Amino acid sequence: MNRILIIDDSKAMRMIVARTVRQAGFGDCTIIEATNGAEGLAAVRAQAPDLVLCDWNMPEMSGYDLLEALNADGKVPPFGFITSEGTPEIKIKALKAGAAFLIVKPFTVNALQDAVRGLQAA
Amino acid sequence: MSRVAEIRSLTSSIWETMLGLPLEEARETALDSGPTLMGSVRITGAWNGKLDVRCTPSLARRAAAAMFACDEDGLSDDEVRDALGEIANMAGGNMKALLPQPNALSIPVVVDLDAATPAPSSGVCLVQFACDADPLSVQLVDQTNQEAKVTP
Repeated sequence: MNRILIIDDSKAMRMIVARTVRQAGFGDCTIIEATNGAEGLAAVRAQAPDLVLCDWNMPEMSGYDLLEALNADGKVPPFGFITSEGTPEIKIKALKAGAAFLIVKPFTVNALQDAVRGLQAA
Repeated sequence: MSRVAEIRSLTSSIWETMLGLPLEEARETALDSGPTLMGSVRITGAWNGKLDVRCTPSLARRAAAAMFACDEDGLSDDEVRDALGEIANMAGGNMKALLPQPNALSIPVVVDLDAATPAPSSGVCLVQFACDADPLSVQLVDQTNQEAKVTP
């Protein structure tokens, strides 16, 4: 895994996710950041990340709308949500749209590590 | 679990897990007597209302420093507001899942309050904390019935 794209409208949360990625054992990866779904879509198309870690609720374009746009492109990179919204309905919607996992904030290093390792093993 | 217990649990979890700042429950806070920052998210749908996180500017800066992993002095005001907004977003997102479905969560907003800002008079579930000596309050304001009155 070389490039991880972190998409969140909160700068503080992007910092936390990036730090947790490093603590989870992926410190060698290049971190790319985007502040909403639209920026994230452009970043996926331009930089082909190996993993996308995306918030759900964002201005401009939500994480779910981003995932749908990537589905329309026909090329969805490994994709996981990190969001404060963890209802069963949202989780089902995310997984049906092609997300590999949904982690609910607040989250731990182990939660991210398990999700990404699970994705790599699949 | 009562609403108060839910707020207490999710707030403590956010502050301890994401910020490394343990909270103590407090009977009352000193937030009415000085400058206060408030991060707020609205929840709309089968339940209508908002969740507010209020604290002193100094505690907001301390929380932001924990999130950004840097010195408090190195943070801009925008970064402090961003951090408090994200704290409100996490609390609101977790609370949203415990309220009648379906509902939607807004993008957080952060505002300055002063002592003259009126508090909601009804439908409020308020939980007060202290982080060391710094006060913090989280309140869930149920406006479902109020909105039903003004909506034809």
